[in-house]
Amino acid sequence: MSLTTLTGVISSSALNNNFSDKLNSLDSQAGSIPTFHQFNIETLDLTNAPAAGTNIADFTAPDDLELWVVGLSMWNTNLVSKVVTMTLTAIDSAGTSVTKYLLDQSVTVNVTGATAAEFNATRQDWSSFSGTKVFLAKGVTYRLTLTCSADTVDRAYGFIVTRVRRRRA
Amino acid sequence: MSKSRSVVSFNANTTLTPTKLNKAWDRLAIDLRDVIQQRYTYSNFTLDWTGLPSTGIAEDFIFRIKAPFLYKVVGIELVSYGAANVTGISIASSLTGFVTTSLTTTTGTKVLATGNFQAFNVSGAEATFTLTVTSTGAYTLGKTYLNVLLQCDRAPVELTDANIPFVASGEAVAAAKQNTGFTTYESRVTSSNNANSHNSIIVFIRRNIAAAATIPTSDRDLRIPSDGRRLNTVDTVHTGALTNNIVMTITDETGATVVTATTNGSGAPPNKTQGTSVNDTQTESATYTNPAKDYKLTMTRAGAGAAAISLAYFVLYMKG
Repeated sequence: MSLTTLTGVISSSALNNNFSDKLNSLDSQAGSIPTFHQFNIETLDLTNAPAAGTNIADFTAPDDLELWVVGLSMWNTNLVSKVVTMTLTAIDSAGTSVTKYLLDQSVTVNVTGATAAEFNATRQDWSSFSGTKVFLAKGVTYRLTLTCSADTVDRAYGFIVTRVRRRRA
Repeated sequence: MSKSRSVVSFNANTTLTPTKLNKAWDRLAIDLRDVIQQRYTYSNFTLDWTGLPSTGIAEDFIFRIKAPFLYKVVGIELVSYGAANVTGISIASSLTGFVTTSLTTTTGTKVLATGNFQAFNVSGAEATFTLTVTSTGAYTLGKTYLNVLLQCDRAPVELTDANIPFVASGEAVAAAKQNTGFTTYESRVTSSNNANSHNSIIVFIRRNIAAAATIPTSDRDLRIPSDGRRLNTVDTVHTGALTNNIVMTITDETGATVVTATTNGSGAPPNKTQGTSVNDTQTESATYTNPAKDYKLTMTRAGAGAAAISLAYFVLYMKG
């Protein structure tokens, strides 16, 4: 559809066309710029009993966000097989996990390091996930937590990428 | 995103009234103004002081962010798990309007201080974020970081009443006036959709790089999902001498080089020495690059003969 130049006697069809054209333009462009936020967590020498806070990253969602990508990597040069897990939870002001603002969804991702393997990673595209979508609510504090099943990994690095869509008022 | 409000339909073989035409324009204008109200974009970055020793030099307490775009800091979260002998910390910034924010630490327990204000940055100007630690003795900081919330503006052109071809009572409906109205409306829709106004910053930090040491393979990479985000410009900052180079490499997920902006001023990438400002002229890149999937950021340096570096960090300025 495109604008019809009005001339002389204005026809109803031309008017309808032009107003419809502008509405389509508005609908398509208003939502066409997705903006992304990335939140990271990194722990060097992650142990199965980490020092306070070293395996935790808290952040407050700056907008209403949709979970888009989840990634987790580990570097493991020890001769021990282990599992690194990253968990996303919502927390209250006391740091206690709550599920209300994650719409009761649980977001956990694991990486299993084989013996003597140096680098292992997973990357999940939630953008193409066909199940229940996970949304983070503006102003709510969320927590990324890394845990290690045993011993120590040289480094664990996780991230989530979230997506904002523009909304009409 | 919700759908537009209901459409006014014009019927054939009926008289076109100004009231009906004005109503159609009014609804269209309300829809666009609602979109324009969503002009601001938000992003965040994190600065980390974990592992900072009390013996650190002054520059170890400072992060220098020299973004090639205009932004506001509208909020911060200062988090610390303290350390033995540390009684409190505070964060200050060179940004106009930044409110110094402090907290009293408790060793091993998360303490949070938040700030909500309007602190302004000028494009290309360096902003410093400086941590101050109060202590009763030597320390090595536990987990301590600052989340910074940025606001950027798409700066759309407003749709004024004068832009809307309302028809006054008794006025003939002129085709030319209506055509101008439609054209102007389209330009306002386009301006509300400024794709180059969602800016973000990513900071990759390493501390306490020992003399003659390389950066371990396990610690030197950062993988950043692309997802349409384009690389604008970069900065490399470290507290060593310029000859004690920290090298930033940016590839895609396959290892292919991602071509970075070449207009970053002196240095390739820009560098600084301790105690001075970032010495490049930071400007918007004329072209942006982004890989299909991930950026892979790698920090390396030659170990042999290299002096210790207490703080090194990369700053990526992204769009989208």
